[in-house]
Amino acid sequence: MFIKKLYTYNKLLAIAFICFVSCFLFLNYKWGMVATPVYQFGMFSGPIHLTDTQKVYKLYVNDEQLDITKYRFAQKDIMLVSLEKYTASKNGNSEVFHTMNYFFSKMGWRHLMNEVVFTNDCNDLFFTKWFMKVVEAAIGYPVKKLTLYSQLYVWKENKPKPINLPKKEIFIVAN
Amino acid sequence: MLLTEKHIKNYAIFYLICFLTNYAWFIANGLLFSTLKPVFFLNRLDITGNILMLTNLQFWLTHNQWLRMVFDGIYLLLPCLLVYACYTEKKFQTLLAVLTALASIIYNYFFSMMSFVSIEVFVAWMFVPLIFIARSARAFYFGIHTVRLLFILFFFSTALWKIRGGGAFNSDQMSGILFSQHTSLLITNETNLFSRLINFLVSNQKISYIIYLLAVILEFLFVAGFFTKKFDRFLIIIFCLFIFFDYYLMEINYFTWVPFLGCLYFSRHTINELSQNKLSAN
Repeated sequence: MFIKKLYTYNKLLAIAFICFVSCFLFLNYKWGMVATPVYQFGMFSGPIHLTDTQKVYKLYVNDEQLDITKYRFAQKDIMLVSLEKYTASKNGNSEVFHTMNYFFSKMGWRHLMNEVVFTNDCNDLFFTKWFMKVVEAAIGYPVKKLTLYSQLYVWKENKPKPINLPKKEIFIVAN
Repeated sequence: MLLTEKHIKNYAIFYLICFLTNYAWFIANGLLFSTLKPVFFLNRLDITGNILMLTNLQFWLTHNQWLRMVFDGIYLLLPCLLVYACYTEKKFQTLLAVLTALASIIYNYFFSMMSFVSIEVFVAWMFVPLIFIARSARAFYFGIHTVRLLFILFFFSTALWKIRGGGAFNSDQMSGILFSQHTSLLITNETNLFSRLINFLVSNQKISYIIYLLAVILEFLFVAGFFTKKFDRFLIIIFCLFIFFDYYLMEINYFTWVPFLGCLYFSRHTINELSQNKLSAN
């Protein structure tokens, strides 16, 4: 058995290996927190239905809608996922802090936790300036005006169909 | 075939080629700290990660271009130095291997917080450098087999997650995933070939579900790796198929996991009888 051989070869390495695997199994069983470099590889594992509503961001650059799909997928993701992540960070960071704070308190490390350390110091204006540069780098021409809309879609009759009117997102403030 | 010190060098070169290719892909897409110049972060439920954040590095990185450049430089330099040390059999190879793994953990943790790339994508850069702690064939043997088992555990766990999460039993799972992954494409571009393929797969739930089930089965097949090394070459092919479809169908870059394949490639090499007997006698 490999573990036995490993233990004979190097006790420390064998113990480290067993600890890592135990930690991996425990965190995966508990289903919640991870501890870098121990992760959960559960992407796309929960039920995702075709009937689920999808939120789509629509970018208007200099008053013209940008066809994001023309760009390489990494460029597309930099633009779209950055918007998703920024909005998620607004409440998400605070929620993560409170969960971690509870955990750290239990471990007796509460004194280490300070919400400021886990909160972005970036506001909407600052984010917009950065985002305009990201869009400029992707599309290759200057962005003078930037507007962002979001719209909800569902899959109906073999096509994505909008279920509401486009809603202007106010966290992009470049008008 | 006997494992020799030459194989450490071969694996080191393979690791460096993978690293540099991926680094070039990240440069080409503006995905380095110094080119992305991130201004915000999204925290996650990560115990070690939150401890790392107590250093305030996230603010240093969002405010200082010089630090972002230093980070990108160190991240590139360490694997190059490590492979150089392996090749020239320098004593500091062991220390460099540990440093490279630690630097990768720190760099990639903060980078994934500040970009769209998930942290799971970077796992190979955290574990593979540890193999090069080995300076003898015997140490290399145990290094590759330890990392091989971890890789198999990671990949096999993805199948278990799909069973536990319920995705494997949901008949419109793959259609739902493709619709959520490519919504922008499906609403704006109906004419190109890729868009038509995605539309076809989303509309034909049975076909796309078969693809998803096939992926779960292929991931599950990695369980064989716990019991035998006989099928390791077959697992390499399965894994290559997986990352190919992940890239072209799902638009997720898992080529960063390719360095793990060296462990499967070298797994059937043995160490010499003398060393093995010595181990048994001990």
